[in-house]
Amino acid sequence: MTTLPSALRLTTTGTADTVRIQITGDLDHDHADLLLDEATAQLTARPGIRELRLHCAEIGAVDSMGLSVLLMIGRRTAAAGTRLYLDDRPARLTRLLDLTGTLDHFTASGM
Amino acid sequence: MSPGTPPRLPDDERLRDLAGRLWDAVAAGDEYTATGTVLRALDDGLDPEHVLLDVIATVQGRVGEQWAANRISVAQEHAATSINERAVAALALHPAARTTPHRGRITVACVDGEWHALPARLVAEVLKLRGWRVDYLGAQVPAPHLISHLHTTKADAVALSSSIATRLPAAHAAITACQAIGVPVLVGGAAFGPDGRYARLLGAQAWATDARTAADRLAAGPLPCPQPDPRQGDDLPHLADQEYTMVVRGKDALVRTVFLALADAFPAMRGYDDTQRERTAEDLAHIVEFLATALYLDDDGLFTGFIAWTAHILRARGVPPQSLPPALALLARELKDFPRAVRILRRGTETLTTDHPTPGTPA
Amino acid sequence: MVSTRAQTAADPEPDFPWGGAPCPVLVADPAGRVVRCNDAAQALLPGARPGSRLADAVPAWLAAAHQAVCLPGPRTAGEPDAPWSGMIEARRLRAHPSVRQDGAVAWWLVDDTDHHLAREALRTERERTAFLARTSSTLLSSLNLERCMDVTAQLAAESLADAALAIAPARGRRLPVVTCLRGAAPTSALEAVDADEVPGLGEALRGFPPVPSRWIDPAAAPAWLIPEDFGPVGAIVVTPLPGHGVPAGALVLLRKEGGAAFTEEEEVFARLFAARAGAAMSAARLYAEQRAITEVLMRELLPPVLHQITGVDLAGSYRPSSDHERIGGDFYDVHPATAAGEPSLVTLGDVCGKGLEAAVLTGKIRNTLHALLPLADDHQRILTLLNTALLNAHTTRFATLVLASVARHGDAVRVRLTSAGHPSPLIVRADGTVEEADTRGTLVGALPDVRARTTTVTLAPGESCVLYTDGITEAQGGPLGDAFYGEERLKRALAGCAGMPAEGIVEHVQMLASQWLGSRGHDDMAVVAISAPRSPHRDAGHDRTPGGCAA
Repeated sequence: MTTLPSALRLTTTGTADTVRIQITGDLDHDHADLLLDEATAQLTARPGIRELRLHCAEIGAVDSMGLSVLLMIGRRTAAAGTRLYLDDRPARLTRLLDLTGTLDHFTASGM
Repeated sequence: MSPGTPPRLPDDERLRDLAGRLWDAVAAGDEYTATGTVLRALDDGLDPEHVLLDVIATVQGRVGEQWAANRISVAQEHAATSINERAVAALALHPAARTTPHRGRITVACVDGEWHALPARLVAEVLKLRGWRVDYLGAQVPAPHLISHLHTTKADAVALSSSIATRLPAAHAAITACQAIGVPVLVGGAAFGPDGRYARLLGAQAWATDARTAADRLAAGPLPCPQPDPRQGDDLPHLADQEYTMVVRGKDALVRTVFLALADAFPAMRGYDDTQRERTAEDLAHIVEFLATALYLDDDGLFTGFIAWTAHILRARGVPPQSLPPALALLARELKDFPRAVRILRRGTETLTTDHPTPGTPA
Repeated sequence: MVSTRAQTAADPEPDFPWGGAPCPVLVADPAGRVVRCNDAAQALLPGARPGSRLADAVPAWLAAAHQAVCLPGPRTAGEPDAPWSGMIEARRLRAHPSVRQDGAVAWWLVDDTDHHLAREALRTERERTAFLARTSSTLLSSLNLERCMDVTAQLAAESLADAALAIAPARGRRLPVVTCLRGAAPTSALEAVDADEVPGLGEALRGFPPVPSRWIDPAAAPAWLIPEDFGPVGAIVVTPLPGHGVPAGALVLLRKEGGAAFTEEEEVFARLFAARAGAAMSAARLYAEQRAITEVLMRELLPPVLHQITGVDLAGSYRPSSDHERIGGDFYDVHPATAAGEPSLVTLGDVCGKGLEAAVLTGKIRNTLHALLPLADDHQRILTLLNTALLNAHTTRFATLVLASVARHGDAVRVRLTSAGHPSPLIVRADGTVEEADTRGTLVGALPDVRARTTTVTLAPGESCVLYTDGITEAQGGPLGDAFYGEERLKRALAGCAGMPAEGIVEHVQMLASQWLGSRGHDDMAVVAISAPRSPHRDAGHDRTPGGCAA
C-alpha cells in the first residue's frame, strides 16, 4: 500500500459573511472531531455569518463518525441561522449521503 | 457405551450405508434429509461417536475431495459443510448423545483466521461424548479471546485446530500464549503436516491426526504441563534474519509489483478479464503467504508441497500452470536480498520441473 | 592416657610426628587396623586404639575411604584428590589420606563443620531464591483463581511441607480448598465447614485481625484439614495469604510426625512464599470478578443465535472490529411472531462509532425496537418512534438499520423490507440472480424527521434475502491490499449461493470478507440471511428445532 492513513488537514478562509473550510484527508472516527471543533469555533467567533462552505474535493474516506459530525455541523449552522454547503463533493460522499437519506437534508434550501 | 449396540460387522456396513445416504442428502443440499438420516440412525441405536466420525466426518472428507477435483464450487463446499454442521448440532441434541461430564474440562478452538470449524466441532462433540466438559469456541478465535477464556475457566488443556498451513504463525502465537499461562495444548488439523512435524516444531504438547486420536490421547492421561520458559522464542532461531517479518510487511507491494511484471513476462495475461486478473493476483498473494509461512518455519517442503498442489489444482481446473514459473522467478528477483526466500523459491521452481505425480492435499 | 600425652608432647617420634597436631590424625595399616592415633583423634574417636579394627572404631564412611585408598591396582584419575568427608558426632570432617612407604595410611581429619554450614546455608538460600522466582513466574502467569490455588498448594507441598492446603475466602457457606500431598496432584473441594473451628484460619481468611503464622495443635485440627492417607501429623501451621489490600486466603502446611519441625527460618520463608501466592490469588480473584460483571453486561449486547422460526430459515453472524472485544456497533435481532400467521420481525443495523460505547447504543436501540413490537407491521411508525427516542440535543450519533417483517405463505416466504439509511438487502433468487431490494430511507437518531419506503419481496423455496452492514462491503484489502470488497463482489459471491441454506450463506459471506481482509484491520461486520426452506416437507418425527415448522 502506498497510501498511508492520512491525517485530516483543515484550511479555513473567510470573507465578511462566508467561512470556507477546505477539508483534506479522512473524515473518520479518529479525526472527524477536528472538523467539528473548527466549524464550531468559527460559528462562535463570527456570529451572524451567512454561509459555512465545506469544500470536500480533497476529502478522503468518510465513515459513520464523519457523517455524524457533518450532521452536527448541520444542526449548529441551522441554530445559528447560517447556511451550510457541502461543495465539490466526490461521488463517494454523495453516494453515502444518498444512501443514508441525508442528501436532501444537506442540499435542500435552508441548510 | 450403548448396551444394545448390535455386533461390530453389521455396524460397519450400516455406517457405510449411512455415510452413502448422508452424502446423497448433503450433495443435494437437503438439510432436512441429512439431519433426519443422522437422528434416525441414533434412534436405531447406532453409537453417536461412530455416527460423528465414521459417517459425518467421512462425508465431510468427500466434500473436500470433490472440491479439490473441481466437481463442486467453493460456495457448494460451504453449503455442504453447513449441512454437515447442522447434522452435528442435531446429533448433539439427541438423547443418545447426552452425557454427564465426569472427566476434566477442555477448550476447543480454531486458530485465528481458520474458517473450517467442522473438524474442531467434531473433536468437541467426541470429547463431550467421552465425558469431558467442553468449551467450544468455534472458528477463527483471536488469541486474546482464547486467553481470556482460559483465565476464566481453568481448562485442563486446549485442543487447537488449524487446517490451513498459512495459519501456522498464528497457531504458534496461540500455542505459546496458552503455555505461558500454564495450559498445555493439543493440536490437530492438516496444517500441522501429515506426520505432525509442525506441531513438534511449534512446541505443542501433543498432536492428533483426527478427533478419535485426540480423544484417545486426552483420555490416556494429562498432557505435560508447560513450564514458564524465559528462553521462549529460541525454538525458531532463523526468525532473527527478519525475512519473515519483511516479507509479511511488504506483501501488498510485493504482490502488486510482481503482478504488473507478470503481465509482461506472461503475455497470455493481457487477454484476461477483470475476474481472471483478480484470480491471478489472489494466486500470487497466496504464493507469498505460503512463502512467508515457509520462512517462519524454515521449511522448504511446506512451500514445494503447496506449489505442487497448486499445479495439480490448476490442471484439474483445466488451467495449465504455466504462469507459475515466471511468477516464482519474479518473486525471487524482488526478494534477491533475502537468501532464505530465494532458496525456497528455487526449490518451488524445481518442484514444477520435476514433480508430476498427484500430491495429496497440503493443509 | 596421661602418660601417652606427656610422651608425645615431649618427644615427637620420628615415624609419628603428628602427636601434638591440633587436628585429629589416625594411622591405619593396609589390613584395616589402627596403628596410631594422636590425642585429638583419640578424643574424637575413643574406640580407636592401636590394634583395633578400623571398622569397629570409626564411622563407616571413613572405614570405606581407607579401604578405597588401600585397594591395590590402578586408581581412577582424580581419586587420590577426592575428598572424603562425613559426620563424626555432630561435626562434619573432611579426611585427607597420606600413604606412607610401608603402605599404612595417615588420615588427617579436618573439621569442616563451619565451612560446610556456610555452604549449606548458601545452597539453601539459592534454592529458596530460585523457588521464589519460580513461584512468582508460575503464579503470575495465570489469572485463574483455581489454577493459582492449585499451583500454590503444589509448590508449597513440594518445598515447604509434606502436605499443603490453599484455602480461599468462603463462597457462600462453603470454603474452596485445594489439597496437595508432596509428589501428588492437587485436588480441589468445596468444604461445608466453619473456618473458625481452625484457630487462626478465620482471621487469615478475613484478613482481620492481622495474625502472623499460627501453630496449631495437630490433635485439635478438624478431620477435613488432614489429607487422607497422611498418617500421624507432626506439625501444622496456618499462614495468611495477603492479597492486594484484601485477604486472598490462607495456606496450611502440614508435616508428618517424626519429620523435622518448622524452624523459625522456614516460617519466615513460608511467609515470603505466602506473599507471592496471595498476590497472585487476589489478582486472579479481582480479574474473575471484573470478568463476571463484564460477561453479564455483555450478554445483553451480544447478538442472539438465530435458528428457524415458523418455517423460515434464519442465520446471523457477527464479527466485531476489535480482536479484544466481542461487541461493537453492529446488531441484529429476531422477534418471533406472537400469534400464528403474524409476521416475525428481523432487524439488522449499524450505529455510528465502535467498541463498547457503540455497543451500548445498540442495546438501547434493540430494547426500544422490542418495546415497539406491537407496531411491528408499520415500519414507518416504528422508525419515527425510534428516531424520537434516540434524538438528543447533544449528539448526532445515529443508526442505520433494516426492518424485515417475515412470514411464511405456503411454500414461499414473504418479506416486507424497510431500509433506514442502510445498504439495501440483497435477494438471492433460485437461478442465481441477485437483486437489490427497492427500499430507501433516512437514518435514525440525528434528524427531526425520518422517511422511508417499504418494499415487499417473495422468496420461493431455496431463495434468500441477505441483510448486511457496510463492514462487509467496506472491507479493505484483496490481493493487492487497497481495494474495497464492494457491493459488486458481494453480489457475485451471492450469485454462487443460490439454493444454499441461510447458515451456509452467512458463513460464506463472512469467510469471503475475512479472506479479502487478510490480517488487516476492519470495521464491525454483520450478516443475516432469511431463507425460504428448500424442502418444505418436514420429517415430522425428527423436527427437534425449537419453534418448529408451523406452516
